[in-house]
Amino acid sequence: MSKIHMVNLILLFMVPSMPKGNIIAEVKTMPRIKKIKNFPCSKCHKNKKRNFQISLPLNSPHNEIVFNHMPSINSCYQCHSKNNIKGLILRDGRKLSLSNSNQLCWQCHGEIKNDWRTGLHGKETGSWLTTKYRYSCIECHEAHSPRPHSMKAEPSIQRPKFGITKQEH
Amino acid sequence: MKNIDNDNSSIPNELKRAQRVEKKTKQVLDTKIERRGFLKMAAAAAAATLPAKEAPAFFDFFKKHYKEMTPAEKKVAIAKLEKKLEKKLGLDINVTNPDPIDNAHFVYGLDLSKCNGSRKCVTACVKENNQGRDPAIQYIKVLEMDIGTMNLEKGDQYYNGIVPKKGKFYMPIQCHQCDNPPCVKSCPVEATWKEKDGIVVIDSEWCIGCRYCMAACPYEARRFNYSEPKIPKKEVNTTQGYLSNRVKPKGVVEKCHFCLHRTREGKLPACQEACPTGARKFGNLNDPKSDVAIIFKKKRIFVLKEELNTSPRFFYYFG
Ligand code: HEC
Ligand code: HEC
Ligand code: HEC
Ligand code: HEC
Repeated sequence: MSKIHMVNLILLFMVPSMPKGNIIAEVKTMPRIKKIKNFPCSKCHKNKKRNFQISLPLNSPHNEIVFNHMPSINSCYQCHSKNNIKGLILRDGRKLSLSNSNQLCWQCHGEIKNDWRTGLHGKETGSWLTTKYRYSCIECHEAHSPRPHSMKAEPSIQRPKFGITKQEH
Repeated sequence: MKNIDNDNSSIPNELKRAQRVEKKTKQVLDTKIERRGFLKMAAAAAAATLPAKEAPAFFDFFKKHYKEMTPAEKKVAIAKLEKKLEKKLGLDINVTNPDPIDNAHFVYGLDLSKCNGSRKCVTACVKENNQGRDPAIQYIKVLEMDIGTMNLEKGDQYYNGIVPKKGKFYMPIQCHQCDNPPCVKSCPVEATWKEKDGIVVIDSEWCIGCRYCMAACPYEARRFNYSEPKIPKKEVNTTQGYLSNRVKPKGVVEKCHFCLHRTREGKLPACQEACPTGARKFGNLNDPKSDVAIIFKKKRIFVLKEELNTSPRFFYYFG
């Protein structure tokens, strides 16, 4: 294959004229609540008055939580509500349900917020014709350690034996 | 004596073989041309002159081109294909042929800064579209390339292991559904054409397997079934589009068709749904609120081999 050109194609592409009766899909945020682990929290958290630090006791079911995010956080309660364990808390004190975690992330990731709201960052599923469902940040970024995981690639096709160099020739 | 005998006979033998090969080649070439001409004349020829016994086999030659079929004729063709596939696969097959949706202008965007080379799209595509597993046919080819380079020739499509690798980026390539498609122009029997939602389709019932289109495609996006595609029975997708993911016979060309049996029903392509990073964006450019329309407006996008004027509907950008 020869070299390729990078061009701003906004001018080159023929953007179709907008006919009447356009299809405009609705976009909703994909509900999150059923996917949250250890839910409902109230199964175990009945005593509301405890104030834990970021280091968990060894026998906690949350031991798998590794905190690797912004450096300025030193308590679970900078995001989780101390008085209401099944809720989140914004930095200005406003309360949020666990399933609305996007708003929590937007506080500090303003640029991504804009990209996410237009579909540029993140992912949409559903129907391009009727309703699309936008993934919450947490679908791809663990709240406590948000760096995207590396993963094992699905196996490649076999490298051809000698002679043929391309899959199709 | 024996030795000389052997020597004498070996030369004519070589010659004979060469002649035989030449004759055979000519024969093959001639039959191809004959059949092509034959197909063109098919409409004019009279089926009635054929012996009754052979009529079903020959009937295929005389059927109409898909584009010229009336809805009723399409129904018959679909029922026929359904029967044929059911017999071949031993499964309950549902053949569909959704028509293009008015006002849909499909485009596909790929965010190269997100793609992590996991090939989840490839696996999903193979399953959805009933591609042969052995030898493996894959519509999507993912190239692993060094960051800072854009030379597709140096891209490695055989990488394996944990991804993304340091210093690499990944570039998936599949059919670009060009608005000016060289493959369509190269087909001698019009077995491949462009539909009004932008998808370039192939009619496997009409394809003669000459592979001119493969030579014409600058993106190497077309695949050829050298043998009958092998698919484990359990993995066969039984919803099969007439012009898309139906199980192919041996000797025809196939390629990505933006999952038209899904997308024309409002769904998203299998590769888009499988992508774990959100690098794949499919949508309707006529919908001003769709992600693809906004990417079009806001991002610097590029297409491969722009100088060839193929006008692809598949574009890349760094998000
Ligand atoms: C299976 C029982 C169980 C469930 C369900 C559970 N937790 Fe816990 N959680 C614990 C235990 C045990 C601890 C450790 C502290 C303790 O001993 O009370 C803990 C501690 C915590 C702490 C405090 C850590 C610290 O050191 O300050 C937070 C915050 C917390 N859980 C949040 C949640 C949230 C949010 C949910 C619901 C999504 C939840 N937990 C569900 C058992 C549970
Ligand atoms: C950066 C803000 C933030 C901090 C700090 C934080 N969490 Fe969370 N946590 C979240 C968000 C957002 C969710 C919702 C996740 C979801 O939707 O699945 C969550 C979910 C949870 C859950 C339920 C899901 C699961 O993984 O089991 C538990 C338990 C939990 N947090 C415990 C803790 C504990 C314990 C700490 C302190 C070590 C902590 N969190 C610190 C933001 C935070
Ligand atoms: C209090 C501010 C704050 C909140 C709330 C917050 N982040 Fe962050 N986030 C940061 C900062 C600061 C960094 C940069 C950390 C660094 O560079 O080491 C960061 C980094 C990241 C990264 C990049 C990680 C990496 O290793 O490259 C991701 C992804 C991310 N955040 C996602 C989220 C998600 C998802 C949420 C919501 C659950 C969230 N953030 C909420 C401040 C925040
Ligand atoms: C479909 C999956 C997906 C969703 C949903 C998603 N992201 Fe990401 N995000 C990614 C990937 C993949 C990357 C890695 C890009 C890279 O490696 O440079 C990323 C990178 C990031 C980064 C690091 C950016 C940088 O420039 O290094 C931040 C911060 C972030 N995401 C925040 C968010 C927030 C906030 C949301 C929700 C509003 C969100 N993401 C939703 C997949 C997602």
